[in-house]
Amino acid sequence: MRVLFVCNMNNHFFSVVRHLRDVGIEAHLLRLHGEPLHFHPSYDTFDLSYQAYTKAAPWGEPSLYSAVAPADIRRFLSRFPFIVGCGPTPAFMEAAGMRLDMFIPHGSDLAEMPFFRPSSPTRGAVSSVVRFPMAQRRGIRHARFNGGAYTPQFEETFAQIGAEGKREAFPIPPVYANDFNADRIGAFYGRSNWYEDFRKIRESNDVIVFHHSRHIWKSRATPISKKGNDKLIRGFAKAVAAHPDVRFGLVMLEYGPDVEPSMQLIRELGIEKNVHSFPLMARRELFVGISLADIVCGEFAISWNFGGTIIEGIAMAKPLLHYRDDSMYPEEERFPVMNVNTDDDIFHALSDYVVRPKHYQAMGREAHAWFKSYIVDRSMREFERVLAY
Amino acid sequence: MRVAFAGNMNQYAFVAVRHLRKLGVDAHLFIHGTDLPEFHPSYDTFDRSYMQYTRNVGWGDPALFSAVSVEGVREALAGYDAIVTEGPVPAFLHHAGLRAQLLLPYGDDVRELPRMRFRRPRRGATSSLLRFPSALREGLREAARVGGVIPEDVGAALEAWGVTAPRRLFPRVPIWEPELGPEAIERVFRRSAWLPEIDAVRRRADVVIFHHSADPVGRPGAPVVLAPSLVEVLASVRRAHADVAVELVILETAPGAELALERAEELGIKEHVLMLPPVPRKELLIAIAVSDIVVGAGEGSRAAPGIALDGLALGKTVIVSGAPDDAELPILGVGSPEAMVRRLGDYIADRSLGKTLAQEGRTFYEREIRDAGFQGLEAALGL
Repeated sequence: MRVLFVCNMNNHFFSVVRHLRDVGIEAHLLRLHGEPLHFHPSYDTFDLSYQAYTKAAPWGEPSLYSAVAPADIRRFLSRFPFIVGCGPTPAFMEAAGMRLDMFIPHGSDLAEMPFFRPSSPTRGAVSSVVRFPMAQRRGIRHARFNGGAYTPQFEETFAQIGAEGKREAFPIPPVYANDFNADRIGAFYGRSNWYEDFRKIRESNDVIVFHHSRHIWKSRATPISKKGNDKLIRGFAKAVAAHPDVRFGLVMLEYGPDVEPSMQLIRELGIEKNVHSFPLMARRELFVGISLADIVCGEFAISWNFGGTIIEGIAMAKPLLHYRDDSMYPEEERFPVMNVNTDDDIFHALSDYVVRPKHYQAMGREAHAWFKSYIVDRSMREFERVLAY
Repeated sequence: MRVAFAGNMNQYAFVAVRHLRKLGVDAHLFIHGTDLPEFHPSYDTFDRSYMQYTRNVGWGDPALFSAVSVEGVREALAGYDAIVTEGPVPAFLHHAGLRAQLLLPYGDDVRELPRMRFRRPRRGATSSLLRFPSALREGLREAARVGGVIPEDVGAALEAWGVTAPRRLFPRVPIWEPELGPEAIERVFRRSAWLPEIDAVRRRADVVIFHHSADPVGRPGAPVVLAPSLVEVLASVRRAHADVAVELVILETAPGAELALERAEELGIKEHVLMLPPVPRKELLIAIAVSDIVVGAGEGSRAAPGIALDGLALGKTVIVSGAPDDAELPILGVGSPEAMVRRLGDYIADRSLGKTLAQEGRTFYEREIRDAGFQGLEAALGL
């Protein structure tokens, strides 16, 4: 069975394609024009084999929708009997007179793209401003299946658009588990830009907390964008002060609008020597760093059950320091977390880690087992079932 | 002396800052909202010490010009004896009542940015559409000195905007040699993500050709599509010199790369073409260091050196498509694929030619680019 995945937002489809190829399904990836560089497959692998099954389309930008010839779209899609898409794929397939087999939204492709929003017109494709959202709506409506994890907001929008396809609510693996796991990652240390730095930090610290979210806690942002980084910094500082015999390290990225306020807070709290900043880096490099850490951070502002940093942490079998209000997800299977909501919670959790590291290491392994079974294995089974329709 | 470099197009400022710091100057780098990700310092070093003297400021985006506070710009740049700048930054300096000591334009920043253009207005900063170009023109005029490489079209643009500051021309230095120069670069090989692939090519090839497609941003015109014809060239050379293993390394980002690979498959030489993914500059330089010949397109001149300087700096033979035979830089100019086949044939027939050319190129680079560039910068800053 040949299946094409179109659009590589967050490198998620690249992960899915690799998993499917591993179970014998001939999956291919099509990148769309205008996708950010850090969603290029090479940012998520240490090997070039993706080139054998990845192509780049010269179309894909919503603002240029009206200027794209349908034949040019069909040229890239027609050889595939089953096409899975996210991002603007529904609209472009609609333009090509093709029906998308499965739409797996990443977020804004369902929540924003199908709705008219004033945006700057592009010369030669002015009518895209109106035509693109209409086509995106039609493309989603006509998709045979609608995939992705169950999300209340998504269900409402699917209903609003009048989606006709069968809802197949299962999560997809956003991380390629067969390379990025605790046993395999060491094979890539010799190809990492930053391994030597991570190794030195490992050697000079007893407890390493890895925090790779954007810094957004002080500047104006929507509630769902906030990460609560300040809670982590304050809680971490308390742990450093309370355990002078423990060498604590906090690894963070220069990422997000509030890096400077975070660094200012770190200086105020006197923990500069415990904090190790890194540049924004390819995701493959993050896994190298995570593998050498003890605890990985999720988010601390609002409750999430699923998401990039969360899955990246548990994929590497690390205990996740994270805020999750379990009452919000009564129906879902959950994995164990170091559940924290305040800086005091974080302080207590880190202090407890010092006392019971093995307990938390086991928690990381349990979370990884959940990821493997509930996300990876389950999604492969579900994909095989849907593809067999 | 405290010097602030604001803007890092093509990583030139980062190289300059490291040089000045080595001299004992307290130089700092400011990157801003419109610096592209590939011009982040981490793309040009494996060493995180840049964080000690680099700051990412929130301002710099022309579309948000009106929303930027004067105090924010002043606070960032307070206490510096000299501000060296480029890109949209002169507008923000003017806004804050500051003045550039040295303007080092890269091209589009004086050709295009000061023009009034219709752009998407941004909420809270709509008046930027009018205010930014005007402020940029003022900021350019207020610069105390203009330096760097000023091609004819950039000079004409400066005159058109009434920039009368004295000019001190000197080459921009593209490589920080203590880390990525020919004597040092092997020390960072172990930190490369893609060295194993390049090294595999190196081990099986007698001659490795690297097609460098990363023309500096800010140059006018469409990119030259060279990759497909290079594959044809490779096939011809391999046919004519069957006893010599010649391999080609190109980047996925090279214009026409996919077509090149399809052509390589048709010609049965796909296994002799390695396609690297988009790589940061530090990885690009490692690939060049492992190669023998660097090929690109351009004029082969000091005013528009394009890819040539990276090859010359790393002591490689450089072939430039589109450059004349008597190019200003010590490169091999070729006007056609046939001429490139001939040049490569000459290189294979007599390796000493390539060696001599590479040595001459390296000597030229040291004297005319690196030393002249740093001396010119120091003089422009009054050091």
